[in-house]
Amino acid sequence: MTRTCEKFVEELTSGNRQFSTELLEHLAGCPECQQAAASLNLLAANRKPLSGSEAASIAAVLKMVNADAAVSSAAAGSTATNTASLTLRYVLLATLGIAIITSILVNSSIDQQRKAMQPPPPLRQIQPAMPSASGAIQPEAVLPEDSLLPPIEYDESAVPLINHDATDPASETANPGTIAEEVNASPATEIKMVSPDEEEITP
Amino acid sequence: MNNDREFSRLIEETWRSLGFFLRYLGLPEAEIDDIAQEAYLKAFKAFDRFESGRSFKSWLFSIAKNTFIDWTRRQKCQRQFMEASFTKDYCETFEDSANNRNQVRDLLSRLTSEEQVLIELRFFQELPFAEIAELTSLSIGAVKMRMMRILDKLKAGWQKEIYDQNL
Repeated sequence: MTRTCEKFVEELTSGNRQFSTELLEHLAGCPECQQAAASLNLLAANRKPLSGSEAASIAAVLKMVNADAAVSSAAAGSTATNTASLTLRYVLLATLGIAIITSILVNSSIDQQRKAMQPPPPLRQIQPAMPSASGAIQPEAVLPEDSLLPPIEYDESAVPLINHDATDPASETANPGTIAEEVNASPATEIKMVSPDEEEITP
Repeated sequence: MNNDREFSRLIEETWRSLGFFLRYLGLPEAEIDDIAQEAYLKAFKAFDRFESGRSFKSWLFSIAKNTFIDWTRRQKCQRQFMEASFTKDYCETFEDSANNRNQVRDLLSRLTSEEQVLIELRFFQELPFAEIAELTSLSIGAVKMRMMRILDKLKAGWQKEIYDQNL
């Protein structure tokens, strides 16, 4: 085979035997390539059809492949069902969660509204000094009697009256009932300021 | 459903070639059906993802080759290729009647088992050189050179009358 023949090797060995015009022209002038092409044609023409054992093997493969395909499709269907079931579960759980949160929020909102609408607690009110237009005093709230302190009775004579504004010393003793005493500082009772070091400790 | 029918057709087309390819790789005769089944099953499972631009046969053969490699790893065994039985079995797939005067057997006997596999992949399965190179771990140039050698062997001793009869 020559270098020119080498150019046609791929086409010459191709199984489809659809030769190009270029190759046909080459074959017409190249006996070597003609012989090679004829040999290949001879092989192709004498190939035996599939034997019984080969056909049986192929049937076994087809059966196995179909069985596997059936199992795969069943598994795929089961997976799809499981996926749908899981999705439904998630949706239900999410709905439940949202419902719980909503109810909590609504309850707290109602409580707040209720508190806002509630009247304020009754306050003690002082009886008005002025009578109402009808002439009768209408207290809005009356304190119970026991909550009122009884009037304190005291003897005015027992209580000394001290007039701190008085500048006259005599005025302080004007009232014989007073127990106020005037303390006059005498030299004997003079307070000496000593430091702790100088202080004499008498046992 | 169309995929199933298409796949059935492809199995019928490739079954014989795949078996010889696996044997050529060194798979024992007893394991060929199992490994071929495994390869077909893998191909079928991935059939939807198969890129339509690529040759399905090349893809299937590469799956078979990977399945074979996995098998050898599992078995921890070395390749045990029986060339004599391979050539004999390969010749069995061709008619050798009185009409062609044993020419077919004569032609095939000139080829080594590797060359028979290359003819099987190229001529009967129509795989491109590049993909044959990938499957057989050869370079594209090496595949081309082997094809040239195959054609040289096939044309040798060819008689003119037989050529006129067969062309």
